[in-house]
Amino acid sequence: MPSKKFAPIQWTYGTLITDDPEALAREERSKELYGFAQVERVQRGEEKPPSPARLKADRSRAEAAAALPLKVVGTPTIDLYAREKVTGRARYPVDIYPTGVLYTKVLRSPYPHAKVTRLDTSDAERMPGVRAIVTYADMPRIARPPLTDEPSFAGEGIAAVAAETEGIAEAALRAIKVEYEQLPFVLDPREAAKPGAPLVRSDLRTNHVRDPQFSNKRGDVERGFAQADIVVESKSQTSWEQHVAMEPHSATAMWEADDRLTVWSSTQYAHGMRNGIASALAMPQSKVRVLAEHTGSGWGDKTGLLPYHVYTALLAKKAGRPVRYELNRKDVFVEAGHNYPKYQEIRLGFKRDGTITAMQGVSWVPAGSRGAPGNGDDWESALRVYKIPNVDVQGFSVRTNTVTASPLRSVGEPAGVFSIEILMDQAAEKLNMDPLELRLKNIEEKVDQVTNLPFSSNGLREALERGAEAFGWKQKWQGWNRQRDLTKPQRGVGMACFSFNKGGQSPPMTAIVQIETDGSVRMLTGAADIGGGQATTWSMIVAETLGVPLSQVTISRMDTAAGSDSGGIFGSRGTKSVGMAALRAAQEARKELLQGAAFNLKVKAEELDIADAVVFVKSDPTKKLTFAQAAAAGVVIVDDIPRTAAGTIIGEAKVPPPTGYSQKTFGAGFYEVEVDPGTGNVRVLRVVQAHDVGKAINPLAVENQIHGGIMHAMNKALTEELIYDPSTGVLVNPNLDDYKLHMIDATPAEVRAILVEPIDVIGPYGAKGIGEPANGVGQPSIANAIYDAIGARLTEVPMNPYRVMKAVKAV
Amino acid sequence: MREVGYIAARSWRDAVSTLSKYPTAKPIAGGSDLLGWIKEEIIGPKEPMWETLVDLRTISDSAAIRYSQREGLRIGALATLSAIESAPDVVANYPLLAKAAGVPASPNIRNVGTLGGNINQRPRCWYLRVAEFACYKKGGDFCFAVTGKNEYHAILEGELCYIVHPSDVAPALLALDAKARIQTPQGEKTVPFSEYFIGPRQDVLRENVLQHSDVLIDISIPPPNANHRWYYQKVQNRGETYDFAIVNIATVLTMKGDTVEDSRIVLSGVAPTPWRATAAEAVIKGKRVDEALARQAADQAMLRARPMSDNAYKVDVAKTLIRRSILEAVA
Repeated sequence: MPSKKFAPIQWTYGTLITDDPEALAREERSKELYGFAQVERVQRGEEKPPSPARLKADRSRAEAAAALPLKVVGTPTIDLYAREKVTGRARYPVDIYPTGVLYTKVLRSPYPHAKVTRLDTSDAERMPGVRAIVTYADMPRIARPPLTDEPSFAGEGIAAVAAETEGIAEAALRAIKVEYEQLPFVLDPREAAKPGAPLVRSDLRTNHVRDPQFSNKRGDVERGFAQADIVVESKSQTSWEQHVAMEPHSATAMWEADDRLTVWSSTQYAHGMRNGIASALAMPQSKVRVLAEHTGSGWGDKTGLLPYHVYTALLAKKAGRPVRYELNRKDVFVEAGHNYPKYQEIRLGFKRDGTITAMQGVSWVPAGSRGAPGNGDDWESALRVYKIPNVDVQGFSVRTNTVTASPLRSVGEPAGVFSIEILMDQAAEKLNMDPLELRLKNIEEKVDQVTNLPFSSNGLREALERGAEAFGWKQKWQGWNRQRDLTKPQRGVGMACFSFNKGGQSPPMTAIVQIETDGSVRMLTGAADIGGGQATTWSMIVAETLGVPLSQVTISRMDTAAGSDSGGIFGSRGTKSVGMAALRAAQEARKELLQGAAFNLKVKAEELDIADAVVFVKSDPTKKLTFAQAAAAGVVIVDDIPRTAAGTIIGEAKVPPPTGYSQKTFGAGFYEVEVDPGTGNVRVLRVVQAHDVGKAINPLAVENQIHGGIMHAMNKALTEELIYDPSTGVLVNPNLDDYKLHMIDATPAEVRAILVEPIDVIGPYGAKGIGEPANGVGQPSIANAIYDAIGARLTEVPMNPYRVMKAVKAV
Repeated sequence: MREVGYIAARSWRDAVSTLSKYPTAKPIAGGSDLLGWIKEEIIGPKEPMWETLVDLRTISDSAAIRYSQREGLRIGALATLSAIESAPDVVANYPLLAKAAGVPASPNIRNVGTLGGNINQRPRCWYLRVAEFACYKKGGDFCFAVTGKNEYHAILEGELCYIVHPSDVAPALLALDAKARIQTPQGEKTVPFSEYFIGPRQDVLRENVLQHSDVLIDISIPPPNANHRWYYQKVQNRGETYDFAIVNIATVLTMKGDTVEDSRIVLSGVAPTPWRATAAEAVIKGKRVDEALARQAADQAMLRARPMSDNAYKVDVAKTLIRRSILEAVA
């Protein structure tokens, strides 16, 4: 018998069987957030690449499919819900006010780490208009307590009040008597990792999440550096960020009966949230309903259970009335999550001709006092995009007394790209090479070096070449060591490229496509349209597959009582994962519809096709039925015998993700900036970003995502930064005055998105994800452009006047 | 947000007598800052919870903009910033003021934000603005910026408290030698803007001479001078998107031929009050302007700067602005 401690981890098609306590703890956490254990393959690379025969077959199938004419997919299409949104008619969860609803306010800890020694709510309870108060003592015992008596970051909730008005609820908070014993705290992950550092929570034995959280080794890194002619190294740092979803977080909880709960909540993942609520309240999942007609964006901050879901439900139960909690912006800044900053040190070795010989690095992230530990994906791009024979990288993630960690669009990948792409430019300068040429020389196009699987498609070279062409890189980039006049604003250009781990499909992938007897089509899904045009994209896939016009397709709005669990809208999985389920479900519905049509036209189903909502015999198109006639035929074939089965045609799909390939996204960015070395202001003038997106289902939505990603990256590069006061551990800028975001007037004069569409063997109609990757290259491109403009190397964001002027001084 | 009382003032005298009656009453004009202040519950040992708002917009004629060649310009405190930036008399005769009034915030906010509100707004210090920090300015006993994060704080004349003055319009008013007319419970008084703002040394709880029951009635500016040359620039963190100033500058040079006879160089964002760079003014007085002189003036002005851990870059930004303002004003 192998000892329990060393029991191997086995991958058995869908379930990770493990005794590893860390893996089990992660699964517990996932169960709490989403209601099921999200298992990960601990050791990557055990999946086998396809045989040469399968590779060839898959490739020719994909090429044949790509050659077919398309009617709906690939046509730039205005979002089907855009009009109702811009005219204010769209109803968001935060707009829901059931009759008799009460308002919530939360008492929050002013200390980053403390023990509540006294809590007296009796005066507050007696106030007129106060209907219910719950405290940490009323909360279920789950990993992230919704309210706590040991706050481990400033802003963590202690007690919550439901009252007739917000004003009464606020007054009640002031009437609650609370006393704290302050405990030692730590904010910096490098400090928190040291022996003797204060423990972030008293229930932890160590602040280390895993030690290390991530590592990747290949080749022999010492030999790699010995072979190098030059070595470049850098220290870089990204910022703590809040997601700042336009629609603030909210929940409105209403008990339909003692055992049935409805929650309206702005969410990226209704089923995950439902399962989380059910598990926290020990209820069956089927008795909890979560719905959101629209969600005003999420960016990764609305993915599962959050504290307010639990205490609003408990307040509603206690008060016997519906209860809503609309977080104000300051509440969002502490109750939701923060994307972690990354402190990173890297070395790269190069041959004189520009070939990379080795990479070595270490990174640190603060994981917050609770929440997703992070630092798993930060190295992804560097490890995948360039041929690097010798690698040794490690990432550490350490608990800190800061707000709960929560992944933000692309999570740590932009931070990783920031550090590696700045270093590539430093190397290009040392080698006196064109940065574009250095990258083209080193990119890996065939095999994912992390998983040893072939890429399902890789358009990186095309993205680099077409992007450079459109930008005019060859003319704009003037070489290293040029003279600059630092008394005036200067212009410069910079570039970067990346690969993101946001291509592959992930479970759960389910959908139901129904064809009504009048031929109208409904797709039922629990997946959300969070503003990225997801529902329009799914409608296009369904319409294309069924051969009907787009107007004939409707998507159910996100509602756990209507649709099935198709996973969250994060990780750029809307198009590629939910879209795959939509495709398969539409194919199933089409199959049934053709059976009825075949019976009526007295042919075999295989002889039929559908176009423009007409079902016809391929060999004789005059033999035809309208789509509606076929839908109403009400015939299914069982054991070769036609049988009457009137009513809605139902196509269902539950799709496992494909295996054998590495599906990744790729892209390149080219930026021109103007830097004022006298004031430190940086203005982005012109941007070209070329992205490998596979097949663009809706090119307009894809372009929108890229434009949005560019703006997001400009914020990450130039303005965004959460700042903790070092002596008190309290956030100094939990508001949109001092947490700075660009507005529409900062849009560069010229922004161009180039869609690179290689034939992909996996995606629905060959599509890959693009929502997250669009923000990948902005930070390093801008940093490299600033260097080109004024010769000052910035390796920390945000590159605001404070940092730019410091760097100018150092020139 | 909690409920607050509302009283519409009928006249300036009515406003001050109401304010005298209620120690927790606060005058409100556009409300673009005050309502957020109340909503954020920014209270402290000496920063009361404001329970009653005394509306000044209901006072007749309080937003008038009047100009005559002999008297100069007079603008009611309740005039909105957008009214000032687009008033033909202001644009034609006081382009510096029109420019300064068009700089703050967004068009929406300038449509409700008033001249008086802009001049008398509270500082943006992030420790002051976050309720959890009981700092000197709220009646506490600590300045968190000294040991903490201070990249936006004062590089000059900080003492106890290191706020910077946030107004974009105030430096223009100082550069134009404007005066304030104030209603007090004892009657009206007029104070030049050079004496209007007060630093923490004088009273850490206030930024200007207004006492609890005082209100600003209007401002006046002398008639325009054909020999004036001016320059205004604001440097902010978010280049294109509206933001509070890191440093801004309003410069007026009075020229005699091609030499500088007199000047007023006023910066905001560097000190607890709008700060006049008198050392720079002395350097250029009676001289012909060139690059070297402008640089010398800038260096001279910043000799007194005492930056903290994170804000030394503001010294360089201020030097850039002083140098450019002198050169650009005569260009």
